[in-house]
Amino acid sequence: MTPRYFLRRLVTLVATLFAATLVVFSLLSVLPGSPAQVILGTQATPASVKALTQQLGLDHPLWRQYVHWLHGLLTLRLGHSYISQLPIGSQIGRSLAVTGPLIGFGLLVGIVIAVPFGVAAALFRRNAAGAAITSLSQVGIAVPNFIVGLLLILVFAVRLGWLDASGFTPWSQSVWAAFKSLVLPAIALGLVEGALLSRYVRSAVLDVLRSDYLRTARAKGLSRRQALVRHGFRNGAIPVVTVLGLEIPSLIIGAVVIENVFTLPGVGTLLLQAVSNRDLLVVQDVVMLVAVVVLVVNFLVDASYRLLDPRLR
Amino acid sequence: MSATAAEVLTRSERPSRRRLHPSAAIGGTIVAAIVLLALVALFWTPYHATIPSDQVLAPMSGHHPFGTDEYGRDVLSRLMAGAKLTLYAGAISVLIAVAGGVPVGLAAAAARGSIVDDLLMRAVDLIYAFPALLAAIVLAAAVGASTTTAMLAIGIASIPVFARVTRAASLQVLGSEYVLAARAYRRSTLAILWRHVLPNIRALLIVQASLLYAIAILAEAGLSYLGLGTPPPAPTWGAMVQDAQQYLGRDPLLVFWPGIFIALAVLGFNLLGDGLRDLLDPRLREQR
Amino acid sequence: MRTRMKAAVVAVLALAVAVPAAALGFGHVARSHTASGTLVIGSNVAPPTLDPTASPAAAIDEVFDYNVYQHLAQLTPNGGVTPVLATRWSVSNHGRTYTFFIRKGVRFSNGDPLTPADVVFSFKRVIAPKSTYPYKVLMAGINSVRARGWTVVVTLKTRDWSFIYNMAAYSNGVILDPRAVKQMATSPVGTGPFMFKSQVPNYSVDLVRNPYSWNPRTNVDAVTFRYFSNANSENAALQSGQIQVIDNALNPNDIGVFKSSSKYKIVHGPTNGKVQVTINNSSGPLSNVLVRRAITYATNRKAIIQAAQGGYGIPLGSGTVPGDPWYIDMAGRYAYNPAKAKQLLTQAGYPNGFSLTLTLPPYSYATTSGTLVAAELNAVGIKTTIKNIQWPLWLSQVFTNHNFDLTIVDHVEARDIANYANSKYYWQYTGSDAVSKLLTAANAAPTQASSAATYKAIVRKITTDAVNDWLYVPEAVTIAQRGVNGLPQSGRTESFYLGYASFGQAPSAAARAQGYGG
Repeated sequence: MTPRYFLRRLVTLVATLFAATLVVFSLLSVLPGSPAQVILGTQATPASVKALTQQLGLDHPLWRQYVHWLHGLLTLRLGHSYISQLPIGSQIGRSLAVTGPLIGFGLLVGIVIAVPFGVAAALFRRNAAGAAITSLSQVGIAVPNFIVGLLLILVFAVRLGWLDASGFTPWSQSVWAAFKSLVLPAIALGLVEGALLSRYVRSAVLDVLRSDYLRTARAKGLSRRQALVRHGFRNGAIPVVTVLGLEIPSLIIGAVVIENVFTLPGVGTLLLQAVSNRDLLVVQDVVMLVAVVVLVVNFLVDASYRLLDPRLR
Repeated sequence: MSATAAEVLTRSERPSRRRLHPSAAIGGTIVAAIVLLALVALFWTPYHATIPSDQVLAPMSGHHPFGTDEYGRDVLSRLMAGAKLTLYAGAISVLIAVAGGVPVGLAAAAARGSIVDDLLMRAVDLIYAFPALLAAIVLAAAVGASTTTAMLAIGIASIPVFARVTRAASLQVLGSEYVLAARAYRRSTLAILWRHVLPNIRALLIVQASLLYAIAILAEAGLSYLGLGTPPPAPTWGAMVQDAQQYLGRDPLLVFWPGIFIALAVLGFNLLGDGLRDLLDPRLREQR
Repeated sequence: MRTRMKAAVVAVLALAVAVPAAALGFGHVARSHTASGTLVIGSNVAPPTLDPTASPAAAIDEVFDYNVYQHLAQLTPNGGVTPVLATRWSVSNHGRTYTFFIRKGVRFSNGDPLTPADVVFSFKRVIAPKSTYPYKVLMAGINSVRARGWTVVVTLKTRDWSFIYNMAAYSNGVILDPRAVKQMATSPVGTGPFMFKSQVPNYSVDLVRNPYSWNPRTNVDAVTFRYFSNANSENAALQSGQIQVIDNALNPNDIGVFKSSSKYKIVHGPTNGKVQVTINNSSGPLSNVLVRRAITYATNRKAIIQAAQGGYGIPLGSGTVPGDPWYIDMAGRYAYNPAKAKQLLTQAGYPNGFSLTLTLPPYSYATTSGTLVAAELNAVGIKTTIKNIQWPLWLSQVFTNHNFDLTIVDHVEARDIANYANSKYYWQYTGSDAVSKLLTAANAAPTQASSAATYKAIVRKITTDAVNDWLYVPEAVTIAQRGVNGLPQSGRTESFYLGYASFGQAPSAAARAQGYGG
C-alpha cells in the first residue's frame, strides 16, 4: 500500500468523522422537548424554563452551539452535563471502564470458542462430528444474546447462586469482584460471537487446506502440520482479522443489550439514560464515540488487511 | 476498501461441493412453516392475542398449549400473531435496505473510480458508522418507539451491506465480455445495468436478502427488548421477551418460548441463505 | 502426526471448557456484600442529579430529602407534619405571618453551624427572580423573609392553608449552607442524620452517618442506594443478599417469592400519587361530559390494580387521596359498569363508539394499566390505539402542546387539586374558572375546617364533571429482609428516610408513632 493511498484514506477518514459530527448534531437538535422543561418537570413556570434555557446556553444560535461542541470534542474538554452537572469526560471514562473490558472479554470468549470449534469443524468436515459442530454454530448464531444472558442469569445466579445476577463492582474497589461481575455478561456476549466467528475460522482453515501454497510447501518437503503452521496461519488470518474488525459494530450493540440484561453501568446504560433524560450533550458525545470507534476500526482493518495480503499491494 | 473485504469474504466462504445442500431444504422448510403460521394468524388465532383474561400465568395445558402470560393472554396466539408482525417488520427492513443500497451500489460501480463512486461509498461508510441501535434510539426519542422506527433504523443501517455487495458484484459483471460488447454497441449505462448487471447479481442479492432478513429479525427482537421497538401490547417476539423477563424466576418458559421462535426464524433464514448460496454458487463462479 | 494434531485440538477444547468452569467455581466462595452496618437499598430510578432544588425527580428526594437535607418541618409517613429544624412556629395576622423558632446547636455535615440567616438564604433562593426551583410556584405567595433574633419571620401576601405542608413536602423547603451551595450538584451538604459520601452515576449513591448531626445517632453506619433497571435483577439481588431492602418495588405483581418466604417481610402503605387516565377535555367527543363518564364507567379499577400493582393500590374516584384534609371516597360514584358506559355513549350520540389514541409514557404502571384500559374501552366500542412515547416527548407533546386524547400518568405531587383551577393545565378543563373561585374562597377561609369544606366542594364538582378517569392510588411496596427495622410504612414522603432504620432493633415508640415501624 503506497503512502499516497494511505494518506488519501486518512483524509477520507477525517472528512467522514467531520460529516458524522454534523449528522449527529443536526439530528439531535431537532429532537422535540426542551431540555429545560424536561429537567424542571410539570410544575415549572415558563419563566423558570426560560431562565434555565439561558443558563444552559441553549438559546444560542445552533451554529454557535455546534462550534462550541465540536471544539470541546477536539480538545477533549467535554464540559458538564446539563442534567447532572457532572463532568461528561469522567462519566464516559467510567462507563468505558465497564464496556471496554466487557467487549474485550466477550471477544476473547468468542475467539476461545471459535478457534477450536472452527478448526474441528474443518478437520472433521467429512463425518458426523463436523456436521454436528456446523449445526451447533448455526444455532448459536440464531439465539439472541439477551436470551443467552437471561438463561445464564437463571441458571448461574438464581438457581445456583454462583455469581451475581447483576451489578458491577468498580475496578478501583476490587479487581477480582469487577472481573467476576463481567463473567456472565462476557459469556453471553461471546457465545454468539464465537458461533459466528467459528464459521469464518472453518472457511479460513478449509481455504488454507486446499490452497496452492500449502501443496507447494508439502512438495518442498514440509509436513502437513509444518506447512499449515508456517504458511496457512498467516493466510488464514486475513479473513478472520477482517471479520473481527467488521464485527465491532455488532459487538457494541450486543454490549448495550447485555448491559441492560445485567444492569451494568456501561456506555449503553449511559446512552439510554441520557436519551430519556434529554441529556443532549452526553448523547452527542457517546454517539460520536461509537462512530469514531467504528470508523477508526474500519480504517485500521483495511490498512492491516492490505499489509497482510501482498496480493493487494 | 471494505468492498474488497467483502469480495475476499465471498471467496473464502466458497464451500466445497460436498457442502450441506440440505441447508436450503431445512432452512426453506423452517421459513415456510413460519410463513404459514403468520398467514394463518392473519385470519385466526386460538384466542385473541391482545385481550387480557384472568387466567394469569397458566401452565401449558390442553386449552393453552404454551400457557398464558401475565395478563392471561394465550401464548400460542401471541406467538402466531408475533410471527405475522416479526416477518412483516423483517420484510420492510430488508426492503428499505435493498431499495437504498442496491441503487447506490449500482451507481457507484457504474461510476467506478470517479468522485461519484468515492462520495457514494463514503456516504455509505457514514451510515455504517451509526449502528442500527443508535438510529433507533434517536428515532425513539424524537417520535416515540414503534415498529416503524425500528424498521427504519434497521433498514437504513443495513444499506451499507447491500451497497457494498452490489458494488462488488456489479464491478465483476461490468468487467465481463457481454458488457464490453454492449459498450461497443454504445448501449447506455442504464441499459447495461438493467439488462446485464441486475439479472446476473440477482441471485447474490437474494442470498444477501435472506441473510439480512435473519439479522433484521434479531435486531428487531433486540430493539423491542430494549423498549426501542414495538411497544406493548403488540406481540412481536422481542417485545414478548421484554414483557416476560420480570417473571423469569416464576415462569421461565414465558421468556424462552418467544426466544426459541426468534432463534428458529433466524436459523431458518440463515440456512436458506446459505443453501441458496451453495446452489447458486456454480453460476456465481462463472462470472468471475 | 495426525494424533498429535488431534491431541492439540482436544487440549484446546478442554482448556476452553476448563478455564471458564474454574472461574465460575471460584465464585462459590461465601459472600458478604456489605460492611457491617451498611444498609444496601435497591431502587429503580437513579437521581439524575444530586441537587433536589434543580429537578423535581422523586429519585433525588428518595435519597437526599430528610436523610441529608432537612426542612423547618417535615412530613411523616402517617400523614402528619412534624417540626424538625424549627422547634415550633406561630401564625398571626390572619394567617399571613409565620414566625419560626429555629433549633439551636445544629450543624451542617461540614461543621458549619446553622443560623437563621441560612434559613433566610434558603427561602430567598427559592423566590429569587432568576431561580429555577421546580416548585417555585408554590412559594409565589411569599412577600418577605427575614431573621429576627433566633427566629425567621415569613410574611405571605394572602393566607395559605397549605403553606406549612408544601414547605415540608417539597424541595423548596430544604435548608442549605450558603457556603456549600456552589457544589450542591457534586457534594451536597445538609443537616440531616446522613451525609453524602460518593456516587456512581446511574448506578449507586453512598451515604454515611453525619458526625455533626443533631439528630439521635443513627443505628446504621452507612446507606447505599443501588439502582436496577429491571425488576428481575433487583429481585435476584435481594435473594442473593446483595441488597437488604427493595424500596418501591418496580413490579409489585411479582413479589410472590418474597411474600411466601419467612426470610422477608413486606411493608406497604399509600403514596400521594394519583394514577389516572387523563382526558383531554377539549378533544372531540371527549368534550362531552357523558362520554367522559362513560369512559369512567368502562374502566375496571380492581382488575387494573391487580395487574399493575399486584393488588397494592386503593381505587380512586377523584383528584384527592386518603390523607388529604378534604378527601372524599368517590370510587363508587362511577363504579365499573360496561353496560352503563355503552348506554351513556349512545345517549351522547355515539352509538357505534368512536376512535381515539391512548398515549403512554414508558413507566410500567402506565403500560400495564394502559393495556387493560385499552381493552376495556374497546369492549364498549371506543376503538383505542396505544402509542408509547418517551418522557421528554410526553412533556412536550402531551403536557405542553396538549396534543393527545387520553394518557395515563401518575400525578405524584401531594394536594395538587389546585391544578383544576388552572384553565391552561393540560387536561383543559372547561370548569376551571368556577374551581378557581372556590379555591380563592378556600384559601381565604377563616378556619382550617371551613377551608377543607370548600375544598370538598371542589372535589365534588370535578367528580361530577368527570374531568379525568381516576384509577388508583399506588401503594409503595417495600420488601426487606426480616431483621431490618424502622423503615417508612408509607410512600407519603418522597424521602425514604432511614434515620430510624436498624439491623434487628425494635423501632422506638417515637418512630412507630410517626410511621417508621416498618
